[in-house]
Amino acid sequence: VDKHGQVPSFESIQLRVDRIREMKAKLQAEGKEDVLIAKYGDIETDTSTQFFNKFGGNFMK
Amino acid sequence: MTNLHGSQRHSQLILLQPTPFCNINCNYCYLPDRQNSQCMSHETAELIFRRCFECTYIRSPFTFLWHSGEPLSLSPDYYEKAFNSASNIAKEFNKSFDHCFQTNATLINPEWIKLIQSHKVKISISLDGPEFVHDLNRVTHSKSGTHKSAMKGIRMLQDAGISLSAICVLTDFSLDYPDEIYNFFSRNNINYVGFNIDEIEGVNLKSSYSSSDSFKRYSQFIYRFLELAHAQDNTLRVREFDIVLGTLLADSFGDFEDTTNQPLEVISFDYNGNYATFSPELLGIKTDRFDDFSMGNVRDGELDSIFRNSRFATVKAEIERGLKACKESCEYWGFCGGGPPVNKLFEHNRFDSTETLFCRVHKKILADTVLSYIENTSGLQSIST
Repeated sequence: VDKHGQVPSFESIQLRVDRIREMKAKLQAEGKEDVLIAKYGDIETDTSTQFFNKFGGNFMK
Repeated sequence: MTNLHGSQRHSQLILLQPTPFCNINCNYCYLPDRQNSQCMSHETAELIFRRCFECTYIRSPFTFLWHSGEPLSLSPDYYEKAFNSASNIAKEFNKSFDHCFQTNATLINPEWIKLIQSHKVKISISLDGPEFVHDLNRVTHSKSGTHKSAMKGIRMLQDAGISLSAICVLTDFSLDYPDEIYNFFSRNNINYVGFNIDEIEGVNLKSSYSSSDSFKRYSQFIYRFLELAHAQDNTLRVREFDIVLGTLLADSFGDFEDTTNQPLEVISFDYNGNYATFSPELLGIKTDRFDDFSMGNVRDGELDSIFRNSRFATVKAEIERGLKACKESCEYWGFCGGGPPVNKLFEHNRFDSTETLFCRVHKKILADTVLSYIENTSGLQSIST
């Protein structure tokens, strides 16, 4: 995968997802923080996003 | 009360079309009838409020989103009266709600600011980035650009301390300008953006995403935008990153649900009081197979009567067949949940179909690109080796 992610991965989405979720768990276990994961890891409970997510359908033109 | 899927979900979004009229004429707009200046009567609005408040499927808190035309083409007085009616009727039912405008911001003036502040109306603006991008498609009926007037309105909102988010349509042209678009939103203190693409739906019969080159450049755009957001600690938040990363990192990965393919998650009312559920774009659209998609009128009785509506039953059954086919055939299901029915209808003439241009670009390539970004930038290498 180049720096723009242009070469499609030949791995399955599920494998890639599983590996990233494993990374998240490992970082958390080690008490480390990755800015992306820290920001998005608990987004479902982040009430500040709920307003915009109500608009989150694809119909907002 | 359980819904049709046996779960405890409930409607959160009530989309209201106060008028189909829009004071501008964007090139990619899907809405028909945009020069029709008829408006929803206050009698109809009050009946809609009452039906929504009394409906057991709609639970607090929910949002009345004024949309599907330019809502601010009516007067502040119109909404003052409507909002007061809603508040008065709500007291009978002990339900909480808010109002939101989806607006092009070109008509904002001090009277609107006063109304928005006094009723705590939430604001989402339609803005495609810097002027040279925005004015390519977001034009008046005489084809003049609208960026300057939109920015004037946005400044008034911001000067009054009113927070806003933006919906930005990415056409093929936009894809070469991630830095310019990022810097535009960042410098103008618009800190929450949702991207749409110009989809094939409604009266918009073509998309600028017509080749594999568009798909490649879309991926490059997303990657670069995420890179910029990440570098600045995500101070500019993007709906698409929230959705993909939030879905990816949630404990319940695989349960993604698209509210537009679930019955009664979104209910849309047109200015005549006709209503429909599923994708809001369906309301007001006619096709050979379905005629229109009205599933009832607010004057006919309670909203629960939608369950006895034959068009609702037909559409729901066809949508469910499409979702089943998606789930069985697509590995991106966990990021998508079957996608919006309206795209399937306008690309395949059926709801029981699968992949669309929208999901190929704005679901699959989006997810692939975000995954690639994480794989390239986070601590993944140390784990996978």
